Amino acid sequence: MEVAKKVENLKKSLHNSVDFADRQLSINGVDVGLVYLKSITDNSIFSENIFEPIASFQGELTFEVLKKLIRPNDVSEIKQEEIVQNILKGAVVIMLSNSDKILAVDILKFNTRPPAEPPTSPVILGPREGFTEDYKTNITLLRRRFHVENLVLENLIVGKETHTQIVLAYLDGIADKKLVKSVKKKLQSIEIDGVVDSYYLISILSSRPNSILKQIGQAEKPDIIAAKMLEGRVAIIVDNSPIVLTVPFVFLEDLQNSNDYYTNYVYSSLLRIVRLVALFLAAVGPGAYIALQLFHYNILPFKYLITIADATQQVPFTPFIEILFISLLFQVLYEVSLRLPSYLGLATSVVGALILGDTGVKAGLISPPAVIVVAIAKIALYTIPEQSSQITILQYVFLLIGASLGLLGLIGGMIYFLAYANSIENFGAPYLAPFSPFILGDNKDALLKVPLTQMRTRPKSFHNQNQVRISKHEVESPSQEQGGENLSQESGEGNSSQEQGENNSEAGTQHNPKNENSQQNSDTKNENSQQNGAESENDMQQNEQGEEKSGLKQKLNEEEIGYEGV
Amino acid sequence: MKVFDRSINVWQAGILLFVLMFANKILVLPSLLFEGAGMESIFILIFFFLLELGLVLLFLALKKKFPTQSFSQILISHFGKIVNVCFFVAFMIFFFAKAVLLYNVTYIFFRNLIYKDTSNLLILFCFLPVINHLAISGLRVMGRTCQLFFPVILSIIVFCVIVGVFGIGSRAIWFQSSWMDVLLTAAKHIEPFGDAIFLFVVMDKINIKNGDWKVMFYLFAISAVLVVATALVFMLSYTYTSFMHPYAVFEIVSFVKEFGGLGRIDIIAMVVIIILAYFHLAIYLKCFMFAFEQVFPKIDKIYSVITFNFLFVVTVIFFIINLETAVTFGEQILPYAEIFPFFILPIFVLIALAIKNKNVQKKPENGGNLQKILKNNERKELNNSQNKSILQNLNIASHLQNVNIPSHNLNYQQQKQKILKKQQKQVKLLKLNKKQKILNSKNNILGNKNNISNEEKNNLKSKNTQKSGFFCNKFQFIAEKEGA
Amino acid sequence: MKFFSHQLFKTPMLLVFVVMIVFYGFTALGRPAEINKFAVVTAIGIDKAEDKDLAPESTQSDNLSMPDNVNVDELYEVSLLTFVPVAQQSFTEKYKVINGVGKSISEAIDLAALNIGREIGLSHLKIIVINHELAETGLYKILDYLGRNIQISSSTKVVATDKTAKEFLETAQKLDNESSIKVAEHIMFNSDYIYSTESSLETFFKGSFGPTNVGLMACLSSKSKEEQTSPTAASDAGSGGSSESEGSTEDMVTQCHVYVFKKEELVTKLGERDMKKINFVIGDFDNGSLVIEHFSDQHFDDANLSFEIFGKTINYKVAYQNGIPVVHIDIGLTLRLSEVEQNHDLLQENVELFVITPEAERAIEKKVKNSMADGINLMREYQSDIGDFYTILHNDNKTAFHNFLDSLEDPDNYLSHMVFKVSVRVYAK
Repeated sequence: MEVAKKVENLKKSLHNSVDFADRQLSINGVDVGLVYLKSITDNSIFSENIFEPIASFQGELTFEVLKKLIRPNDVSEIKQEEIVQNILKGAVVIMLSNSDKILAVDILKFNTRPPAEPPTSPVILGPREGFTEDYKTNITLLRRRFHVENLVLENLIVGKETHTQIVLAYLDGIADKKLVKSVKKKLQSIEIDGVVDSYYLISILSSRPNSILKQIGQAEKPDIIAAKMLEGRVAIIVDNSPIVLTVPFVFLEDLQNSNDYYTNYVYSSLLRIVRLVALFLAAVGPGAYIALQLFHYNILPFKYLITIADATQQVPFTPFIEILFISLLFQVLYEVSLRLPSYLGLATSVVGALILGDTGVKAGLISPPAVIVVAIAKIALYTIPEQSSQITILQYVFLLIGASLGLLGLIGGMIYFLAYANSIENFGAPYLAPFSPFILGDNKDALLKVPLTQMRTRPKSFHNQNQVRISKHEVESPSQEQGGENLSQESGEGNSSQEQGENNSEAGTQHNPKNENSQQNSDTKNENSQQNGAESENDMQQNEQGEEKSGLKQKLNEEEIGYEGV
Repeated sequence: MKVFDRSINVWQAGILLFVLMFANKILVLPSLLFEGAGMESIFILIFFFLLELGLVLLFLALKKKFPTQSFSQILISHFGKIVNVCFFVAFMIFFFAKAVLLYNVTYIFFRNLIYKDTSNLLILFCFLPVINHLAISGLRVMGRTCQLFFPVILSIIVFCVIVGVFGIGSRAIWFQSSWMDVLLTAAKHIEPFGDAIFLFVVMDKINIKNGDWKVMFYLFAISAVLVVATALVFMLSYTYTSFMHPYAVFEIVSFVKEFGGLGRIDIIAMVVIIILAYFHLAIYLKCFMFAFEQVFPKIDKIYSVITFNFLFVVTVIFFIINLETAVTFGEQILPYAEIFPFFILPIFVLIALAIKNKNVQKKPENGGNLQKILKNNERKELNNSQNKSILQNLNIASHLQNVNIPSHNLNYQQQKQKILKKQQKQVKLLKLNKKQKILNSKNNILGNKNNISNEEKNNLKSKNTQKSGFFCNKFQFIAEKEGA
Repeated sequence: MKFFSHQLFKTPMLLVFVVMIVFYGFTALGRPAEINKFAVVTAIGIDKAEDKDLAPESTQSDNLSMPDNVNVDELYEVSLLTFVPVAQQSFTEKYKVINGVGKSISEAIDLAALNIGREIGLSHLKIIVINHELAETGLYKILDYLGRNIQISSSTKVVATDKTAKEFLETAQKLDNESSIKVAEHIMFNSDYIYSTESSLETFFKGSFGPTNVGLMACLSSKSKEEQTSPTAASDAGSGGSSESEGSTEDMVTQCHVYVFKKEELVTKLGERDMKKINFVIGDFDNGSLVIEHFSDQHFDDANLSFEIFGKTINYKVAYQNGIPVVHIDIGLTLRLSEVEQNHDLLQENVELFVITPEAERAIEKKVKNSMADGINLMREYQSDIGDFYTILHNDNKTAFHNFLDSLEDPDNYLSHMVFKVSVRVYAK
């Protein structure tokens, strides 16, 4: 087919897009066609480094010669069916009349913002770079932190209409291979029209997509992602999204903050306790307040009772309606502050403060204790912004439970919710690890944080290939009294007797019927898992019988399997 | 609905046991005991805890002997199916009755102290969904959730005991009751005990590693000490008026004068009682479910939950409606039910421990017969004429290993795989026609073994070489079939 | 919607939870705060009803249904010191006394609720005040109701008053409304430092149900002291005063005596001094004062020395001689000389302020022994084992003690047949 016809066909296949550009010339009888999209290519590189060398060439232009003429480095030979895809990715496609081979030169260029500090993760001391919407920039940021060959970046394309580029990043030799396989498989099995943001992948990767609980880690900073990859996690970079996902995810990750690792460990421990208390207050505070007021006046201390009694005498609403009203007002203010332009924000905040803080109380519509309780709860919510959406929902749920059922219902609701959280395991990692199941080694960086030199092993709440982070010889502090004991207890042991973690070889199926049997996994694990109570055949039979009875027959397909946590 | 049960580790099992040691024992029991036996009721508590400890130790011994079997399997293999069904019917009734009693005691507590004359429905609505969710989610979820609340429960109870110590004022009069009073009181108030039998019900779901049994023992000991301490502090605080205060752990905290200006700190005792009640009832329900599954194996597990809920609601609303009836039920009916955990079950367990395991392989003197070790289906494959020679070789090989291979040992899988691996190695050597190496290795092995006959030695030399390829392939097939 | 309903049906427990919350949630929308449903009572006063007309008709006319041994004339008047919420944003405590008359205390309380229009909430009750007449005659009938009521904490103070309980509560109301000193705190302080009697429901019942059958109850009095004030000083009127009148009244609560009950009957009333003597025998209270009069040694000449007791330890040792228990009480007192009253004009800087000389020690020992002897004699006189020697002897040697009791003609009067020996050790602070 002539070059001109090819170009014409390409133009038609791209629906005569306004940014479609082509140049055709003839050099010594050889027709050359160059096709590209001017909106996503670098026109200056095209002119200076591609078109000009070709146009000024005098000689027999062959494909091999053409390759040498082109100055940019990112040159590749492509097939006929890949032309459109390459053009859409910002490449110039060069066709010759005397050759069937096609050359693509990547000169993708578009405006992106520079890596700036993300607004949700500010630090006092520490790196301030953040990911951007360009996945290549994000890869660069990661590459700068891992100057090793172990850093694996696997490419995937997802989305029928968007062909979004997704990159799986992990450290070979640390991240568990089955985890990688499992993630890849889930991503490859997606049949979706488009992936606009990384959040689209969350429901696909989650084991319980309908759950309100967050099950996939998200971060916007490369240092956080690098730290998680060093723990054995897999990072998922999505083009056009500054949020990078990590799996597996445990609740503890949101309790940790990058600031904690760049400051004194005692202070960090204190802050983590404060965060947890704040989270508890935010979720349960209003519910407890309303429960005590409606059901348990006898429990309240007398002076507090006087305060509440005096304050609520003039309020025309019942306590539940009052606190609902205040909560909704706060929520409205929050939504408004998100969407208003900054020059209107000041006026809104003044109005909100006046209405809620002063006028409403003076008018007798709301009482000061209720305002204080709700305000504290709403403020405490944002000690962990990543969990704010979940905790907000919980806040309203517990408010309803507290008002309906009192203290008994409130505690029952907490137990219900925590049992629900405990039943979630994403890629084998228990959601509430290392608190539940209690994993002693992981608690060094949980609620309390120890100095970095004492965090010698990787988290045991999910599998990784290499447990040791800091070997014995690298610990040089002579003042550590317990250094010897710790080393002997911690280094490289997957299942020491001190740990309260669960065995690797526990058989049985997970709660979600979609999850798979892990019997085969337990048998193919390392010696440790076999020594620590491998399943006997009787148990396998029992489990099989149980599955048959429950009407569930599952394939023992190794590739489909997630894997058991500790 | 699907109900899945995964195994738990010894810590979680120990914590569940810990939780079961409370409830009634720190509520109504100290008051009732004092009424009958005065200060000597402390010895009653200690005695009953020793009995419970006996149950725990029996469980540990049984678990050591049958590490992967369930209690049902043990009963069937030793006593038959009928005994198994009878046992689990008894379990069902036992746990249901305990649940009803516990619910009523705590309901009265909540109604009097936390809520003002609220209806039974509200309390039922609070309890049932939560305990059902805990039970249906599985044993592991229940264990993990309990593990999460364990520090809270422990610290609150310790706090209550410490605070209660400050309320001890008057002298207690000791040895005022006669031995007969003590015995009668003990017999009358045995009903809160015996919960340790839940360990037998979930036996196969508990993974105990070597040496970890101590964890369970320590947790049990801590719970026993705390209960006895609570009762002691309660009795020393109230002495002669103990009978007037039905809720021990709550009363020892409320008796102390206003603590640090906060006013009332008895809310802390209420919180721990609520948490304990939830978990306690959930464990009862779980045990009921397990027992139901054994009695009605063909019925889906979810119906056990439905049955429990229905019977529970009916009993609570129509039959046991106040503290008096609950205590009467506990004093007049349940003590007879306690014969089951303290007499019948230990007897059967001791018999099971005493009987030598029929499937246990003795140390082979003339070479172990591997046919008995392998399962039936594998045995059938090996019984073909083509494989008889392989069997002989396997016999000799196993004899060479001189390994005792009990069929239901914790290390059975491991041992078997070791044997298979060693045999694979030998086959490889044969395949490479390195007779000298085999002979040398055999000499090394045989050097310590005197039980192999010359005929067997010759068989090994002649037949192994011929059948090496076939032997190797078949062997690999067997190894794969094992699930390696 | 379909999706959510499908999810709900997959987890039936969640469905039940949701149904339950919806059902109770709607009721919660209209449920008022409990503080607005209950009248929070901080003190109860119980008197005999003087004005029978206040009683409802049913108690007056329903004679036929009454048992023979019930005196219809005996009606109770219950006064409840109730917290009244005031619609203010600042912390304001306001109390009101409401009354009710009935055949029984529970009936009287129910009728009192009608006067305020709310249910009576006794969970925050701190004091129970009983008229001295009732205390002397029908105390246990009253305490039976109070002991059975699950809302009332066992650490609630129970006191008697020489006037009517209603007047006492009205004084308490004024004090609570107008000052930060609450009557309950006042009584608690008294119980620790002044009359040294726990005087709570619990201790009373403990004594009564114990082997000694002895219960103690403090008796307090409220006084209104009128003060004449000048018009210019009208603004400086004391607490509880009325600025309209020329004079103002100052209300206060004072101590009277301690009632001793044995086997549900009043045995005696002990004054403050008598109680202090008995408190030497009881080991619970380790504060107070000790005065030695007309003391002379090388430092003092006919001086009255006041010592402050900082600590007291008591050890009991029991021995049996011819079957008779001999109780050896060893008291250790930590004292500090707080005041010296003698004939000198100036405060002399004396070393003896910090040293207790052998003479002083002997004098103190003598004083303590005399006080203890008086205390024990009081107990013997009224056959009331306030010091709980029964328990001490029983725990020491049960067999010997019960043999001793069996040998007595009047086992209740065991104190008179026991021998007490006292030794005192004194330490200076």
